[in-house]
Amino acid sequence: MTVEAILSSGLLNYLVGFLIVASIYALFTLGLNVHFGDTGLINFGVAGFFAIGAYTAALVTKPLPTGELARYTQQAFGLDQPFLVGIIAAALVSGIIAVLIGIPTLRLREDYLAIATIGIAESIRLVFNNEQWLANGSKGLVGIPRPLYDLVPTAYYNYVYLGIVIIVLAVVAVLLERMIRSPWGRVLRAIREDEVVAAAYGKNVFAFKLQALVLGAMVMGIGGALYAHNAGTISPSVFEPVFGTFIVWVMLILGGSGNTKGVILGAFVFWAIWAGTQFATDAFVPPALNSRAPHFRFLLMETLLVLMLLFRPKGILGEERFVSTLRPR
Amino acid sequence: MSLLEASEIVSGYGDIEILHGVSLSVGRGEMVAVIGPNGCGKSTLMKTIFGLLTPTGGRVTFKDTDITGMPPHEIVCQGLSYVPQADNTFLSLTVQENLAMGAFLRPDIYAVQAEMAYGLFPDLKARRNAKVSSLSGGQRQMVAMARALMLEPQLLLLDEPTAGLAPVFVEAVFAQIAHVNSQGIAVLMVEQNARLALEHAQRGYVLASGENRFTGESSALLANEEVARLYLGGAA
Amino acid sequence: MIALVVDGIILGSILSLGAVSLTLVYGIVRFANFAHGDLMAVGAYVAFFLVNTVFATLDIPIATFGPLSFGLPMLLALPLAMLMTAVVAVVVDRLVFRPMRARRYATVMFVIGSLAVAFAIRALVFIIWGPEFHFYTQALRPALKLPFDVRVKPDQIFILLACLAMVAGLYLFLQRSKIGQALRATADNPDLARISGINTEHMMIWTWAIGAALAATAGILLGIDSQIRPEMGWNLLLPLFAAAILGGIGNPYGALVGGMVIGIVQQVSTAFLLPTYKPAVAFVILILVLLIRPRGLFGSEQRGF
Repeated sequence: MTVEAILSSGLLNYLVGFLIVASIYALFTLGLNVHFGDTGLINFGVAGFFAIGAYTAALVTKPLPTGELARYTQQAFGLDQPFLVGIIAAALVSGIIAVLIGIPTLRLREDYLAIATIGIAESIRLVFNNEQWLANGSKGLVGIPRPLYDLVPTAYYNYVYLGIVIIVLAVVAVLLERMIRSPWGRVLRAIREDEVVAAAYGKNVFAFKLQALVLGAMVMGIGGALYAHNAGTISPSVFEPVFGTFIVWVMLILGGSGNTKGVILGAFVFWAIWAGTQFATDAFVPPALNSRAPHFRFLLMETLLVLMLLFRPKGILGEERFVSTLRPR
Repeated sequence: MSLLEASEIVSGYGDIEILHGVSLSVGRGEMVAVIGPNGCGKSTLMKTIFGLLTPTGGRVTFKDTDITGMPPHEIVCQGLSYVPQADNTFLSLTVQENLAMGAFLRPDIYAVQAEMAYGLFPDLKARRNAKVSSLSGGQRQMVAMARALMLEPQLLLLDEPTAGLAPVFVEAVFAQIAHVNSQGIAVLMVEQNARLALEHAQRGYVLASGENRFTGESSALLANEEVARLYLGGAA
Repeated sequence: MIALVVDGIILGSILSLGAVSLTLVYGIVRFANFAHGDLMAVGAYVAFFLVNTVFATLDIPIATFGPLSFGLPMLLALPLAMLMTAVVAVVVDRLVFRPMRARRYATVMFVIGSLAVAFAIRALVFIIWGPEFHFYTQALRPALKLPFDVRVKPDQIFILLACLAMVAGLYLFLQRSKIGQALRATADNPDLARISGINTEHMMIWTWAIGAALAATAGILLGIDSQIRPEMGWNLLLPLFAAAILGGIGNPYGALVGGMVIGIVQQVSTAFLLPTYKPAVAFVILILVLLIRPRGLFGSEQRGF
């Protein structure tokens, strides 16, 4: 086979598409790892930051619809800016939302943040679903521009995009790893282990938690932006809690909460398991039950998480111990 | 033959070992005091005897039954009661409900035992329907002790019964403990007020750094120069 | 507007019952149970299964009671669904939360576990009953006309009375019965409860069973008032938590008031906002409470009911 034939073969295309989405989920998982793995914050609203990142990037990089398109697409604005501007905007807006949600909740018990993040994610989804003028309501946005689209023939474009996603993932992972190994990161871990002790050492626990919440949310926002440019089209139904939030938790716990390499591995491994269950349900679930088929897969995922929590709470790789914890377990 | 026999207890919290092999015994009807500096493991010992902590070594027997590692709700059935140092009442429940909880396992003897408790602590009778959170510190201590006496225990474990009480109440609490003991109930108490505790008890144990340091008759311990200097805050 | 307030009181009474049971469970198991809304859905669907599948094939007289839209089958289904939901909750506790307690897990792990349970229940509901809406009955009953142009369906009066009766029953149970007192003692001071001879693991079973039975009732009443759907549990989560936190979490009597307030505000908001925004309205109240009075209207500075 020629190189060309290999590059455009169906299987390879599938694999590239798989790797792109897995890498994007790895970004969400990295963001959640800053929240939960490093700081012990329960964010059940990953989908909200995902949505904010995706919609921000779309609205910043898309032009306003014109001509025929404008008749059935509404959007509040369309700035027609380059890809990188969209990414930065996505991170910033996600970060701002995180500040707003963090202020009322981060001084309280850990469950309050969990509830509030569900609330913000649901509210964001409801707003995008109902406010037609903002981003075309439940029909969503189409034609989100793809970066460097003219660089190679369309058939090979996915390779370019995979390259972009992997570069972003690598940069984010290296930066986060550095931050978490810095004195700042050690304070986060101390807060996770014992907030009272961390406060007794004179650390402003609230400020550190807020910084962690914002940092993780910005990473999620970047992931959302990359998702939007990959899919080319987004609608509120993408940001349902199971697919937007829960799956990220499964990846985090599977790979090993608190371990950068682990959570990336978790995202890839689980995305592979998830793809595998697609084939399994296609093969075993009778067509009459087609509308219910995805729920068999969800049930499997939920069972997997419970089993992980009970029998391997530290995940596949476990947590790297690079700081001495304050309180032995 | 002793009522309670703890031998070579090794225990602590998680990976932190606090007790490195402590032994003590309490005879029937006896009053025994455990004294020692802060952090020597007195409370840990009480919690371990009562099954709130699982020892990593050693054995606890009560009336020749091995109760090592038994859950607290089974230990109370054996005739052993425990009054913790802090949080030793149900604050949101009334006095009467606290006593009812003390007799949770034996509702049949509740009425008789409650009358006895009110006899022992007349102050409580008037306030039987008040929430414990509205009571004074001294009254709360009475509720705590009354609750622990509801199941007719043969041995009462008291963890710092006078901690945090105003000096005027301290003597009163010791008098109540002596009264309980005079009914034939053995008492094992851990106390900060070491001298008072030894004056009321027949025997005493001095713990230090999670080990037995001195053991003996109270009078002998009170007379011991070293005990007096190190643990009683003055000469014998 | 008065009509919306009346509707809000009905919705509020259902939310109250849900929030009271949520906060009861919270007071004893000491973590926020994100599967509580889905326990309501379990109750609603089990009742649906009994009424529309099991009883429909048996020869149970469908005699209705006066102007109510449902009859004997529903009244039989209610206690059975309560029991079934209680069993589900106790089994979940045994499989998921009890092992966590035994391993002394941190609270966060229980919370994550409860989210997994919530989604697992929802997936099962989807698998068994499909994604469609269901109604207990197609029968329409004329509304009663009250002064001030207020219309109330007879069902709604039943719902209000049933909720009040359930909460009153819970109050009597907690105050008067031995198990109820022991539950309050366990919520107040779990260590002292164990020292007193209370087997706190048994109290966990009682808590889940009672909490789930009340949740099931709330779910069924919601189904009678509107319809049942697989996402109902998830959509209820924000109003339930908002009500519980508004009343001071762990305080069942506060949750009663909290549920009423949330229900009324949610209904009245539909005069200005799309009804689909109801969960978001609950969320806004939740945030306001957290900002202004994080301990809730009635506070809960100490444990215990």
